[in-house]
Amino acid sequence: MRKRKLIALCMAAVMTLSAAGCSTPSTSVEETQGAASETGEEAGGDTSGGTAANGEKIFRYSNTIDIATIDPNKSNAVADSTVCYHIFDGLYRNVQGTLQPAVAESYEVSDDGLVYTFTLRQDAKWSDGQTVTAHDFEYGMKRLCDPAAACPGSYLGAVLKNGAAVSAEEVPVDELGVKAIDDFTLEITLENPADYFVSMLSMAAFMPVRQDIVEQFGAEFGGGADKQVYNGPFVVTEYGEGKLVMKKNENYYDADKIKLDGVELLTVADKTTAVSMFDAGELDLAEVPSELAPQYEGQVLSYYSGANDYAALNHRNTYLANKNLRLAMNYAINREEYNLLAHNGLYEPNLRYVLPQVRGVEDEYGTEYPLEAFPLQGDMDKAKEYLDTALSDLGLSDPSEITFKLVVADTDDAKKEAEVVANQWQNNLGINIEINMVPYATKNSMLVPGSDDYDIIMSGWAPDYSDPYSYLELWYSTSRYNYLNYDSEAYDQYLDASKTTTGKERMDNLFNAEKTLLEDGALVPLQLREVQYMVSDRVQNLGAYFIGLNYDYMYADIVE
Amino acid sequence: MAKYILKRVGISIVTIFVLVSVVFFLARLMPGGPFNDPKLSATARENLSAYYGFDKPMFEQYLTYLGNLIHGNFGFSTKYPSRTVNDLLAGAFPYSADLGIRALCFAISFGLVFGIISALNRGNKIDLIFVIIAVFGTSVPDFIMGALLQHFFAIKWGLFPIAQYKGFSYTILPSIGLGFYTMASVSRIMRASMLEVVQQDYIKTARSKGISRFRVTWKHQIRNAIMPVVTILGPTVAAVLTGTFVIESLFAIPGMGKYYVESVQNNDYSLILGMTAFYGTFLVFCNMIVDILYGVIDPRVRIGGK
Repeated sequence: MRKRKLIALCMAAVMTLSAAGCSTPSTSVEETQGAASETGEEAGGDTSGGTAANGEKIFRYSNTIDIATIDPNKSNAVADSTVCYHIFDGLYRNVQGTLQPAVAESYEVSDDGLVYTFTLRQDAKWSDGQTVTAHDFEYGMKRLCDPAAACPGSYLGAVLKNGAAVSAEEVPVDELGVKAIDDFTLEITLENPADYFVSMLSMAAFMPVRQDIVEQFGAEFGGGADKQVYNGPFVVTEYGEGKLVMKKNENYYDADKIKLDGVELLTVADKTTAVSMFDAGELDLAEVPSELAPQYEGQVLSYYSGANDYAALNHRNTYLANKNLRLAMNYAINREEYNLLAHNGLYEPNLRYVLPQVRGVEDEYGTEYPLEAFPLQGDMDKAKEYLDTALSDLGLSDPSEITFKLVVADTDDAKKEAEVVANQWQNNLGINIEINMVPYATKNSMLVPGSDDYDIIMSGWAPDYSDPYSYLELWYSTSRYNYLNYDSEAYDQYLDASKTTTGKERMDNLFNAEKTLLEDGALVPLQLREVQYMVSDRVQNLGAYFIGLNYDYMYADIVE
Repeated sequence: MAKYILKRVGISIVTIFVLVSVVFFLARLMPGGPFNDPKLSATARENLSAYYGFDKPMFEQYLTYLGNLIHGNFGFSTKYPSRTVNDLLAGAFPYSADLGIRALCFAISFGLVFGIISALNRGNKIDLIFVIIAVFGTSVPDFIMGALLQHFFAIKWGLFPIAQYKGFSYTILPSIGLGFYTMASVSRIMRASMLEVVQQDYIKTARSKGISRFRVTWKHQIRNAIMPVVTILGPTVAAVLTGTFVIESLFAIPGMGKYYVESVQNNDYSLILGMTAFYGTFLVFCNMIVDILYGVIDPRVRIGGK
């Protein structure tokens, strides 16, 4: 009798659980989603278009991972800085390459190009009503470089006077080149003249930060919507698992120009799912994985992410120290075929080193300084010539005596890239390539000067400011990034000269440096990365850019 | 019984301690560190290491970690610098648990019913259909199952939402996707177990006593056949409730699944350990419950107990 009761009880328990599980979501889930209804997305209800049921204009897009933080000093990934760009307002705003005043109304530069004096507007407010002052900017930049705050982006602060020294604990934080003269005057002193400095000011790293709020929340500052204050066009109302919700900041001094009522940023890890959600009208923007791009031909837009990819040659290798061999390897690559095989033709084959879209003197650098260092389809005759010279230089009789270890991250894209490149070198030159796959983090930790862990390593760079120097500084002989172990006196001289010159003269120096690098065949440029994405027809004025953010929806609008 | 339970609890605590200790050192043996952005300067890396205390001697870090662990404090994540691991887990676990409970309900109720019907119809067409479902369910991996469900029921026919987790209709496809494998295994185990039990002498005895077929099945056969299913439920409950990478990523559910992969990829030591300790404790706890339940259901298991 007792046993039967037990079974009945078990069965009943299972059934109750079933029933409970099938009626409503658990309260905890509902709690964490409490604010969802504010954006008009009722549970289970379908919203058509960006305009929710209550007529609000909500722009919805997605990222593959959660936003790591909304602390501007600590945000390091492009998705995070994109959010910071929209919830904070810096001194100047870089609107897809065009500078516009933001909290600063104007600035003056000293004759030596080192001291910038910004005059701040007096009507800029934080979301809690306090006025944005020069002290908030001073505190933000000091915190960026302060070793105790340990901000990953502190390398950006190196542009400021003593920036690197402060991070290295060589001088106290107070000696950083930033000072609030009064509430509305900020003086910034640079380490070296940098024409591009003002264009960097809308990056998350240089945003104002409120000392009292940092002190209130300590290490958890920026870890939740209520653990931060905002002074940008939007404020965060919800930041947690799987989503970040922003609402228009009515206190923003330029609120009239902001058309969106809010933004909903979802975490959708699977890009195919995101595309399906876009098709169903649940997202207004979706990035299209390369395998799906052909299906959406005509609908897909693209922008340069700023990243250039190349096969980095380690000049510490005896064979790769030979310039002729490096040039042979450059001419032996058919970049058109490479791009088709490795990326379905969706990226732009790169025939030079610097991204042509960065700013030159007046116009884009690539327009002012065109360069095609290597033919698109390669040049097998030239490759052979250089190879023969290289072999006699090196005292080798056959190219098969050469074997290189090529290190690549174990991501799908990188694997394909390495296979195609290795194949072209093997077929066109007859040298041997051993591909060595390592985890992404391990590959990154190998990118240091003086390493012998690789002969060739697949790598790339994304710029920190719109200027050729952002790409070129890597290969200065003593640069901490110089994992090519490139050592060219001419190259160093051009870069040195660029630091003491301005305008066209400076740009000429940078261009000469780029030419030197490529004439030396120091690395093998492969591609400029492009991001394929789709935007709903209802969205207007959406921009994309390659520095400090990816999508710019500050002035976007939704029109039915 | 009390002694039996006490012993199980003791063993569980030791297991968790060993697990956390081993993973603590294993995580730090992985190549690369948590701060592997090639743009970071050496000083930035040092500052970050000091900030998180990774610059201290390994053993000191270990003792600090154990001290914090006893207080239930997992520390700050390196990937999410403004959030504690406790905060991350507290935010994500409700989603995973909610999904997991739904998946389990689906899996257990359908699995048991399918298994029982299948066994009672051994050899005929109904049995064949259920066996095919079970083989299909155990051999198709969840990323294919989830993608198929999503493609047909959400994208093609529009019966359910494609992704996200904000209402009952959103939960159905991921629950089925997640629970299908368990459903199939429960059904197979139940069927096999039913068929084994039916050959036992006590079933024959019961039949020969003239008890009705229904009563024999219900009271003698199912009751005895259900034990193996209980055995697999412990680890299954732990695995299903603490998040699964594939289903959660496919359906954009903000559960814990992503942290298993993300934390290791980023060498996020605090998060790796937090996930390990959390999952480990949960698994050990579920197994302990199963062991105790065993003792309740079947007194013969209570070794040394009365």
